Amino acid sequence: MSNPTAKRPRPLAPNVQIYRPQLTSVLSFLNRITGVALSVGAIVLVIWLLAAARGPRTYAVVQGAIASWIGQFVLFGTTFAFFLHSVAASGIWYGTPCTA
Amino acid sequence: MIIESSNQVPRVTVLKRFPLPRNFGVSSESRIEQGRTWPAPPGAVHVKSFEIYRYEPDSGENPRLDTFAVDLDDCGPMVLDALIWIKNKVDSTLTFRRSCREGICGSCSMNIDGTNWLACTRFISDLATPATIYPLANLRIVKDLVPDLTHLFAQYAAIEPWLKTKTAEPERERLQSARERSKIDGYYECILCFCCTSGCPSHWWNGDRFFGPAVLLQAWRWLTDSRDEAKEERLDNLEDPFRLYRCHTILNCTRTCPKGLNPGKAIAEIKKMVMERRS
Repeated sequence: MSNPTAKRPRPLAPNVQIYRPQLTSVLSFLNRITGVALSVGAIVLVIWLLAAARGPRTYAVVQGAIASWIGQFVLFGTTFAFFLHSVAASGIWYGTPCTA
Repeated sequence: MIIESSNQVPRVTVLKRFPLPRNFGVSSESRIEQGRTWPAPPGAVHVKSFEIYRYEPDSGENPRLDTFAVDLDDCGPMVLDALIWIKNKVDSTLTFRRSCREGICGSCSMNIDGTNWLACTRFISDLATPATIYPLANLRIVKDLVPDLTHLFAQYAAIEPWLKTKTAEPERERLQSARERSKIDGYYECILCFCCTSGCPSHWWNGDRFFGPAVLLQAWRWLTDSRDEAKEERLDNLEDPFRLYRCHTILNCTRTCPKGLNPGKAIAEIKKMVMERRS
């Protein structure tokens, strides 16, 4: 017996779109997002070190990029992500007894 | 901001939802559309508005958000009373699961004002205005507030939640000291309402393979029961990067358990037992 209309898939209830941001989920999302941001920051650090090893001209180019507004913003963001990832998100969570 | 028990209603709401679009990353059949506003009861003094998720499987339409006005003087104190009032007086097609009305059967679990809880134990006076009622998060919806729990119960069956013994059956009971019996306190009281599993972000992203806090709490209940003799097989079954180790101690589960249980701690104990077994 064939169905005249194809069976419509059941809708999925909304999850992150409507769930209340609680201390638990906010810290966890922050931890993940800052982790990704820090890995990008680590690559920037490696590029800077490689440029320093390469020679004065390459170093001058990379240093110029870092000294610009965007570069300083990225560095500041990386430091902030460091703070959130180690102190706020992980530090509060694993440093204090949060479970009964 | 010290949270002493899960039934503590937050006093301050900084953010009601994450700053994402309403239908963020949602497939086309799950997009929530504008719904209808039902008329307020005539002559009512104390009125509270409820925004309730509706879905009609036979209509071919997308889910929508309907707004109801409930006469608080005519209605009991709990959210379940409001839902029954709406079903009796306004729209009899509103569909939801319910049974005991006292917080022990686990049928009326739903997402109320952003957190998963039982409708029969949540006071209407604790809700925001307008109150938002959605079904349990990240589950396929059969109709209105009724989710499809088949997959969750299949995960529960996968941990084999029964006593497994090798020794012969004794003539009377399998004996257990009071201290051994106290080891399952805090775990046997689970009513399988699935508020925790449906509130776990890790289960949202990996729900097909991650067991989730409810199932893992029951797995711990059987691991720690002194009468059970299949500890090794149970741990072998659980020790899997997806089944157990998708838990990243987000602890949304403990925050939302309507019975005040601690699935996060149970999962931590399982991980500890796995480590102790290795050494």
